[in-house]
Amino acid sequence: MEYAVVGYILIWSSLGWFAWNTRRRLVEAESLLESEEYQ
Amino acid sequence: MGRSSPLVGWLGGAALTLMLIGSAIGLFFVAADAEQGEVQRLMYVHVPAAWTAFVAFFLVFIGSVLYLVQRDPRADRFAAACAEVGVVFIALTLATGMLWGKPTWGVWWTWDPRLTTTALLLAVFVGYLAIRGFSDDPDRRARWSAVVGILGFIQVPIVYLSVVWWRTLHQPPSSPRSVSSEILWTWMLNFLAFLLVFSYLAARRARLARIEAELETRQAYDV
Repeated sequence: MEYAVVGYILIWSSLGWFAWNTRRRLVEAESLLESEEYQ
Repeated sequence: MGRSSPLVGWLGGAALTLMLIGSAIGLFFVAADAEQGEVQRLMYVHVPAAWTAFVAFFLVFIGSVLYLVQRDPRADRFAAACAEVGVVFIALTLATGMLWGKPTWGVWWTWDPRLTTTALLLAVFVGYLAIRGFSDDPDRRARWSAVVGILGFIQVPIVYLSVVWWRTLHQPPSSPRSVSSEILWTWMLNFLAFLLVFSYLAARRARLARIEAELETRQAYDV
């Protein structure tokens, strides 16, 4: 069971990290875009 | 440039819900395999992750062809977003396969045709993403990566057929007739969950690429 649990944790943590990283970069890029628009 | 579509938010919610259900069923509710035991539960994510990566790389192929024909930057951004998420799924396919291989075959890795061609597929699409960093000219960057995206997709049928063409440790492709209905519907459920996750992440990545392209254009004008 341990190998299976590690596999599922790996899937969740990898996809979760990717989604979080994408969201972080998106928020940064959007705020940069908006700040330039207001200049 | 407008806000992200609420549809994408709903897609993310649906993906998360279905993934929770699919993982719970794969890990706790489906009976353990009579021969392989608990480790076979990895197959409920390993196989759907591979299928999702294949879909992703097919979409890279479509986006790449469209870019070369129409020179539309949206096609390039679509292909790049699909490649980024596809690389994650194919890396997870390899990682979960290794976790299954250790207790089943006794080794983490062997240079079996299926494993080797899958590792090559990962390398090709990591190369695709690396190439995108080599050029500051958006058109040249898109052209180079489109060529790699098209050539890289050729690797997908090779991976799929590797277990048919060569003698291999990896089992042959499964079909609805070769697995129980319980295994099949758990695969399908997790495949659907992964497809939704893929669609959500690719949509977010494509939006990120669009904003970054806009910022890049503004910087170019400023210089």
